[in-house]
Amino acid sequence: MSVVIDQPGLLTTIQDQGRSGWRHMGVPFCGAADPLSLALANRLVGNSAAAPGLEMTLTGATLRFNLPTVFALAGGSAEILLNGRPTKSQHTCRVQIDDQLSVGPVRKGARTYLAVAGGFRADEVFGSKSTYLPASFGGHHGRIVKAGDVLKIGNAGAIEPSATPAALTPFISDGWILRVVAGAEFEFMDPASGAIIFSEPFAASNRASRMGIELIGQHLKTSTPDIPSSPVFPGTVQCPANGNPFLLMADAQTTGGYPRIAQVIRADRHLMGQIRPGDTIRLMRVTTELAGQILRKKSALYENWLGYCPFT
Amino acid sequence: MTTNAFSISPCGDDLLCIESRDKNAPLLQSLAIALRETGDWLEVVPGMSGVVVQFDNLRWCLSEAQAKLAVHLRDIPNPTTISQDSIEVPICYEGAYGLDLSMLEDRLELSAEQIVSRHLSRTYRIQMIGFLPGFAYCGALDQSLETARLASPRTRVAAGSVGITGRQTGIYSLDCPGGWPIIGRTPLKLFDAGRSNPFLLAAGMEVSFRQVTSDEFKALYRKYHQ
Repeated sequence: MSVVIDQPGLLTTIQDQGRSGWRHMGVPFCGAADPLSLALANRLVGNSAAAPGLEMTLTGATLRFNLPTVFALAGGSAEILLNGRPTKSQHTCRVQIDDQLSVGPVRKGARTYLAVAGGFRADEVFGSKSTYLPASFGGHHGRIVKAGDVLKIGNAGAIEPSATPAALTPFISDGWILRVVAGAEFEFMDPASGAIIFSEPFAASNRASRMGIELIGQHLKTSTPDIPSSPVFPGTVQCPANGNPFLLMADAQTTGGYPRIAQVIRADRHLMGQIRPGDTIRLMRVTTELAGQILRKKSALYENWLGYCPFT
Repeated sequence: MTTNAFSISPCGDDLLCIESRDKNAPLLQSLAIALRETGDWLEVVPGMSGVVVQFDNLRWCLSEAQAKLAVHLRDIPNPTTISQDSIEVPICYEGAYGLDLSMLEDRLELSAEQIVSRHLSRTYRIQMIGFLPGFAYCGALDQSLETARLASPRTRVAAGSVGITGRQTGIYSLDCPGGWPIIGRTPLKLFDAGRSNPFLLAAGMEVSFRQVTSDEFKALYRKYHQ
């Protein structure tokens, strides 16, 4: 019961819905950078919320199944070939032993997720099977997946094939609106920066990883370049001295010394995982009350289909 | 919202920031332990000037969480005691281990020997663990060693590296990017996810550095990393 990796793609790791409760020891959240897409893929193969999937970054993997099973793909759009014939994401696909799945370059968005019925077996560390590369733990021996790796699959029950309803399929674009609330040091920004941060677009720079993405195009100024080391989270927008805001993601460090000017709301954090270098980013300020309403609405929509809230 | 010595303000739609007026690191650490024990918060993360808690904002709206936190802060018993253990940390300041000592000689207008002896001259308290798994922020550094971060952070600092910045000395637990000027390295394995206690260091511990030669470093390194 396994899949064999023929080509791993650029940066492929096993991820789940993340780990919480350890930030005070410096352990990041980890988990799928786009947890909604992983949840949608898991739903199509009958997996629970906790099932680990494969996160493929910018380039997909090629792999063979050593079992008859079902799989599903969701997230960034890529050409998907099953034994050389095109197939689609967002629906359940049946495979036989030795069938080969090939996921091409991700054309829109940054990450594509593969779920297999039963989920990938992986190392559990601090309550999660997510791979955390900087400390080499979790997932598949704490590292990226390589050619020749044999990834074991858990047991699965009977599965009824389905497809993600069109209304729930996330729209993957090259322009993103992230809704934010004011961060702890929002007031540190000078008035000019306070005006442009929500009115002018930023671009995602090449400095992009699972830890975070640098936003360029507008320089922001703060009254103090450094703050005493303070807690930061996925979705925190820091403003370093160079003036380029830094958007923290799933693998965000737990504390930081730059002013925390904004915080992406929980309902929108999954979008960060699909931002690729060159994409346009707009930050839109909402009140904490509105953020709560957005979360409840968006969560109700997806809970109906998934059975749980996928927003972490 | 203000409760006794603390003020509570939102810093995200699911984050509340507790600022303490006296910015006392041990107090913040023990406050965080007490809040964690309530089991109501997803994360309770102490920083140098406050504590941030994360809550499930599907379960509580922000004002409910704020009220809950105010009750917790009011009802917290005497500060919980944080770790008072002490640990001796072997450190080698020689050659490539003390990467930035020669740069610091110019910056601080002190000789490398003076920097080393002043770094060794006191014991430190671990103020917090953060940044990456097991990274220890320790204070307080001798005032004459106070220095800024590197203008451009290194893309890779070796695990065990000991840096200084501001009035702190920090111990890197992993190979990672880092901006603190590096003055030495310890052969201890500070973080190991496979160990029953993955973290060698904890907030509150007293750290005393013991100088070792590069030969001793290598022998100790083999012992701790086999």
